[in-house]
Amino acid sequence: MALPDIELVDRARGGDPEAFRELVVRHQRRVYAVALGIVKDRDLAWDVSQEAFLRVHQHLSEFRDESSFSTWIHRITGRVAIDVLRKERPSRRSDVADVPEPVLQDAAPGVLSTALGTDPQETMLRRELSGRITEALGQLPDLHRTILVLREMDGLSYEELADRLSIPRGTVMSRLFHARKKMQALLAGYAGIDAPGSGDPS
Amino acid sequence: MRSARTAAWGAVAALLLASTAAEAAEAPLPVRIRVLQGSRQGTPGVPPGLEDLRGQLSSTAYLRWEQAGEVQASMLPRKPVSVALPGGESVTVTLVESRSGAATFEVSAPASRTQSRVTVAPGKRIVQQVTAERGGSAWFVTIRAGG
Amino acid sequence: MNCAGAAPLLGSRPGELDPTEEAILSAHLSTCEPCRARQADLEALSRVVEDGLLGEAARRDFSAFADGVMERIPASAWRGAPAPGALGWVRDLFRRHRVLATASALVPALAALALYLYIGRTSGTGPLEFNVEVTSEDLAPMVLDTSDGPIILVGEASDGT
Repeated sequence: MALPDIELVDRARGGDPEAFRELVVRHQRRVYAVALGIVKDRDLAWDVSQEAFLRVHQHLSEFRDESSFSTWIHRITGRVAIDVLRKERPSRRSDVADVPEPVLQDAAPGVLSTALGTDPQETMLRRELSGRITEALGQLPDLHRTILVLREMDGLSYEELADRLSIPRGTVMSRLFHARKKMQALLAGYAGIDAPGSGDPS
Repeated sequence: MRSARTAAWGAVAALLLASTAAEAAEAPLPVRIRVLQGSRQGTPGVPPGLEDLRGQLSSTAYLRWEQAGEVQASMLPRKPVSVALPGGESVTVTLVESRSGAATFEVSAPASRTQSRVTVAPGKRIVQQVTAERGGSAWFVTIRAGG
Repeated sequence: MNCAGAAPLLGSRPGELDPTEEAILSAHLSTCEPCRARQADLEALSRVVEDGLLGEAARRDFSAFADGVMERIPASAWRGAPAPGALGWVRDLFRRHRVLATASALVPALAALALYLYIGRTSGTGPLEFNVEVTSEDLAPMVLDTSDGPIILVGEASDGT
């Protein structure tokens, strides 16, 4: 008998710990996934995730029913994860600049989507690449990784990203572009897809 | 502690505590809850109404038993039933879940600051002490699913 | 507009581009097959990033996670006194006083046929295990296992009341 999130939130607000626990159990894995994507380290991601739920609890009364609980907690998770990143590396300003990346072998356009397929069936390659995602993400500079994860997992818009990261919208778009480009190159490398970087805009 | 005889407990009031959500219909589980007093002193034995408990109760150090009240409830999961004890205290029994193989109850006895969560097969009876022993006597509840 | 200019516009969602950008992108995509292919790549990447991170989460044991969160929320944060029958209160109390449930202070003159303390959680999946969990704030609980069912006793209060 699963109650909808909004009902559990109401009960939790009313002081029901079991309702809150149910919310935690429901969302814990996805929250962890976001945290892991941003902070890279699994134990740190665990702590970040717990902290996110604690903050959710502290701010339960502020939750607006218009947005979904899932969206709300993801936003909070992203914030906590970014705070943690900043604390860990307060002075790595070099991550901020969009300096040209070292040249990677870029896959030809469309190679990745072709290789991974667009049908819902999971291909072996897709599974293999999924398993290496944290490895690939780990190779991105903090800010590129953060913006990519917030975009892909939390679904933040350009405007929200600009606001959250205190950067201009144009920077959001170009940083996303670079992050994606690097990820694609890494994944193509893992998949053994070799192709000369033809037609690649750079 | 007052003896059960003086308390004139014929039927113990059972309060079904309110639940906020409309639960989907589930088959209620018939549960029989009895309030008992066990004493170390006095003539050992059980009254006729507690004959079915004699074997089980003989495992304890309490020799003499009296029944103080009874509740027969059709319990639904997560809907607590409050059972009043003589003296004003109360015990809360909640069915956590019931399956064909077993039923799980939570018993909360603030008077003894004790909580339990017990899973038993159908037909088995839980006997739980719900007050600390005073003057050689203590209150118990028994819970048996299936009536 | 060449591919380099259009590239950052790829991967945008409806409503994120202003009308000028929207026009530029549409125009470019209509004539540039490689950029259409790049757009498909972005979709694929998006899915594999999500799959990968969720897969990591799926592989991790989360059985202790909710406990960890709940333990860090003080009991007083839950509004009002613990209501009778509030199961969460029971569980939280159980966790705080788990050690008491293992105490085996024997009540003198107890004629125990068999003395067992079952400590364990009823598993959420699979067949139910028959077990008993007892917690008491200051009275050492004890469980007797009889053929008719369990008997749960409590010891004397530590303050002698």
